[in-house]
Amino acid sequence: MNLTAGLLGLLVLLILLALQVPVAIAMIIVAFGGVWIMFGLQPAIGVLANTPYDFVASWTLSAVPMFLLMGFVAYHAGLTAGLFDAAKLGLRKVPGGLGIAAILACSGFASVCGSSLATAASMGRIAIPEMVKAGYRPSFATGALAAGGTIGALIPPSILMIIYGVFAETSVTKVFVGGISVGILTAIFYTAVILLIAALRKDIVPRTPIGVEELSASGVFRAIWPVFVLIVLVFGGLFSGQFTATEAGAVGAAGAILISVVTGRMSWKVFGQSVLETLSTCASLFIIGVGAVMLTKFLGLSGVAGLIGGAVNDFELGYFELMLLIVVIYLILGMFMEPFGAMLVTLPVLLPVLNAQNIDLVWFGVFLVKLLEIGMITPPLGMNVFVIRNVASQYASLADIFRGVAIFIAADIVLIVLLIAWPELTLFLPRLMQ
Amino acid sequence: MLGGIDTVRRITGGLALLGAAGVMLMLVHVTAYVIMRHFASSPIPATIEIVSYYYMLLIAFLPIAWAERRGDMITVEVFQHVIPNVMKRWIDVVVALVTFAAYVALTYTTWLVAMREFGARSFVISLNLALPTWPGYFVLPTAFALAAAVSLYRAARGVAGVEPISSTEKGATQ
Repeated sequence: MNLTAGLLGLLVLLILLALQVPVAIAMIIVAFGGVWIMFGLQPAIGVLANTPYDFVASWTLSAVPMFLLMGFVAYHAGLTAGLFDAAKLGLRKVPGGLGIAAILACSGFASVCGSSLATAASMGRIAIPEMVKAGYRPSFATGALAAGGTIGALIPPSILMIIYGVFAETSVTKVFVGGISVGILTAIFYTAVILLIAALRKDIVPRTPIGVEELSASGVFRAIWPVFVLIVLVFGGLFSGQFTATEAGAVGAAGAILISVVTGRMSWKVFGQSVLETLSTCASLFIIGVGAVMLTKFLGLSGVAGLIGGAVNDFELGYFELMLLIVVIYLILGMFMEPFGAMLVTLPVLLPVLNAQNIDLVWFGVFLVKLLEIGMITPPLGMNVFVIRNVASQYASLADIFRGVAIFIAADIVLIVLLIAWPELTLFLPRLMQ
Repeated sequence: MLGGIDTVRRITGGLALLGAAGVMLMLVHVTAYVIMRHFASSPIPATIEIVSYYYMLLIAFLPIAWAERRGDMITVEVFQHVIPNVMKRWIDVVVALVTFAAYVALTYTTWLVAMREFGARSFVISLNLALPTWPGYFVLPTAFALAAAVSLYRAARGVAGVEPISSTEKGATQ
């Protein structure tokens, strides 16, 4: 009986999602209705009454608004505009240097911003026009920046990782540290793609040196050193154990605001936009978290979570088969869902399975974010591609950008295989912390 | 045809402003807490509790109605381009009504909890400071009630055939 209710609940959830009921509301309705059918109205009211407060009134979760604010201030104030110049100066003689500089700039921006979309938008706006002007094929230039944006959610801070950490009850700091190596590996793989194309196809990536006559090393240094100091302070404090995630976020946001004011990049408009976007993201994100906690309770009570865990055991799925299944599921989900919804709808089902298989939850958190980020660049719903299309509509159509991004997705798939085969690639840094 | 949009804007915007104040307070408070702890070795008492039981509730719940109005809530957009326009309008009405029902249920249940906590005058002890926690519980029914009202308003506009309230502005943030 309960099992039937659980499975029916999942079916109803899918129908509600397809009708475009907000993800949070769909999960809340299914959990409430399901518990009501199984155990009566009072327990159902209990789930509804207590979960929202219990989930949100959390110190760990309070890192989300602080890191969001830091990222939005950095984005709207253009704090990291000098990063691309610095990378260009360093790579001026390398074939494909401009493209690699864009990827490096994305990685730098990622360390002040936890969002893939903001990273793609801010760096795309600066780098794509220069790349096209230098002779890069527009589809490749836009594809590179759409892919480069995904580094934003891998290198800490990362909003996805905080939400994962809270939900999986695992250390956010450790997931962050794991994200550093996967973020850097991603940047290296994308760089390799650009070098390869530069070597093979000079009609796509020109080999001419970058014109950097107007840039001076000292000018570039002056433009970016405050941001570097901020990054060292925030992450030094976080990873040495001096700051909790929330404290690091608050210091980072305060520092970003201070730097913007001192360098004359701050205005009331920038400030207001940053706070409002922080608020809008929190409002839409936390309520999904509330729904996901309710759904977890419902699936646990119905026995569906146990059933799926048991099925994984019965099929005697080994580590590699299970991972292959998970990769396929998330690649498909990523085509249609934005990452927060995809993560929070699936974790209630997946976490019991992972626990039963003794899979390291720090490793899985980083791995999951990498998978979700691939979903940001796959058609038809590739949100990074949409953002790049918005900031570079004169250079490429949506189809062009999706074509350009394909080779970066191929590189991501190779990286995914390596991450599965060698979990140490992700875990060696978090283990150093113990 | 269906007025009141300005009232909806004003009220949801007002609550969102309170949420924005929550963000600012959290920023200033936590930064001050870190500075005091490191340089004055006298941390501000009950910081963790105030952040969790006050600021977080303001930030997470008060802007929900405002985000609903702007159409910021996250949905799955698989069939968006497949559904014919005529059907879209009626599906939107059904979705708004379903959402309305969920917010009403949340309002009612969180109100019960708020009254219970109020009756008990609940508080937490942080070191030797007793911090009342019951006021925070009232944020939830307030926010959910307004979100319910916005959803109902959206359904009414759909039935009346007025363009959706979120179509004039779009907050694409993440």
